[in-house]
Amino acid sequence: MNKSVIELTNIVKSYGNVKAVDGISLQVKKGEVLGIIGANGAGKSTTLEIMMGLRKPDSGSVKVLDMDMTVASDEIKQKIGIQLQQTALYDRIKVKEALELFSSYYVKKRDIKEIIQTLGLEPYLNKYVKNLSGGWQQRTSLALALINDPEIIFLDEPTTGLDPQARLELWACINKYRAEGKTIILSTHYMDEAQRHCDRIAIIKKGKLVSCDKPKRLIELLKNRDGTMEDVYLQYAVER
Amino acid sequence: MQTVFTQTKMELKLFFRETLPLLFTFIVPAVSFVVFGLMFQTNSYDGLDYFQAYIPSMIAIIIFTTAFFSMGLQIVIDREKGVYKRLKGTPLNQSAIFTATVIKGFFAIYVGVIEILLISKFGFGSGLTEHPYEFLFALTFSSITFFSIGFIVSSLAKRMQTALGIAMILMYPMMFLSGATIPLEAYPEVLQKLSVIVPLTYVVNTLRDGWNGTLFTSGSLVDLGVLAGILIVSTIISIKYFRWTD
Repeated sequence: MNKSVIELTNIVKSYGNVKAVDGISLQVKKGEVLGIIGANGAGKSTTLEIMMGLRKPDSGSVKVLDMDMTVASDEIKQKIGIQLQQTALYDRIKVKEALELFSSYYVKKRDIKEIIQTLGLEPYLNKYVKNLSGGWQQRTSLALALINDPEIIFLDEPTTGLDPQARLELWACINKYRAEGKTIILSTHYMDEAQRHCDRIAIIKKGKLVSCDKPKRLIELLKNRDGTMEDVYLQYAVER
Repeated sequence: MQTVFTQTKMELKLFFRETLPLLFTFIVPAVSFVVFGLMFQTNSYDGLDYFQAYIPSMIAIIIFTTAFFSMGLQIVIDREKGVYKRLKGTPLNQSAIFTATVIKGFFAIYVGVIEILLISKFGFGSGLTEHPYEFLFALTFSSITFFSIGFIVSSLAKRMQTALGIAMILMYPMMFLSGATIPLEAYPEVLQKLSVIVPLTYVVNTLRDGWNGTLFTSGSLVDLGVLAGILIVSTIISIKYFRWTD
């Protein structure tokens, strides 16, 4: 049961002179929710995008579902679902069209109607994605990430910019899929979310993995025993 | 094959929802053709009547606007929105996106061409070309050449505003210094000489040769040669610098 579905080994990625990811090794277990936290520019998105197969690391190896990303990226992409920070869809595409288009890319397809119902997208199907509020755009992106019934779901800051109600509702959706045993990897700036929903939290600072453990354990390790995830963040993720 | 078909269908659907490309592909050339036609249809241009000269000219403009707006600019817009990055996270092959984009370009041009031909035939009662295959060859070759320039625009411009700026600025020399609208003879000598560096000049000439059955004569060698040169150079530049994702 505790099988690794993702294995990053010593990943390095630079943009020009900037080392965005500086030697990260990380394993993600099947069925867990892993949160990635860290300051803006710490390397969260780059790390996620390397796992998604969107960027090639300069060195190090990426294994997803026991397959090497450099040789089997097409097979891997059949089995993962991703959501980017931006909604990242055509300007003039409607929700329903986006769902149908993305569904056409995959061999394995989850029932679109069921996804629509679970995420409550029914009233928005014929609307342009870009005209929806942030919360509904994010739900559309989430729907697209689920369309192939993926084994691993990647969510890059899914709740950033949403109002509290939209955040709660999105989490309710995400938790439904977690209950099915999907592995979920996400980045967030909200420590309360990280603490409540994640099985483990990876803290990234200046491209390095500074800690990765259960939220409870991270809090216990603080000097101040009554601390919260905020204190953990301040302790590990912030430059002093 | 099925994915290319689905992707192309989507590209076309989206194309018909964009105002700017539609305006420049189906409205501006057609309206210009009608207005010029009403004013100058009895004129002759270097041995050609209005229709022999200006049907190819308006089609040249359609080729330019399609390559620059519907392809070059649209790719930059979609890339800036992260569309291609998102697609990279799916099993969809990038060559399917490329193929769909090129088919969309041809579709826009052929529909624009049919529009101009219908206006000429039924609006003005003009005869059409007696050399359809020569013209089709000239049309397709010119289109491919300009698509390759469109890809240079989307290689160089990272932002939508940059691509739009490039397309708008180049629109003036392309339309007015290529012979596509105002006959070059009407300009002072200096401006006539400038037409040599405007790529659309060669498209106008090639299309006129195709339309009038003089494409495979020595007179069109320079035009075809220049277009072939542009195609080769642009393709090399695009292969080197074009990226679907940044």
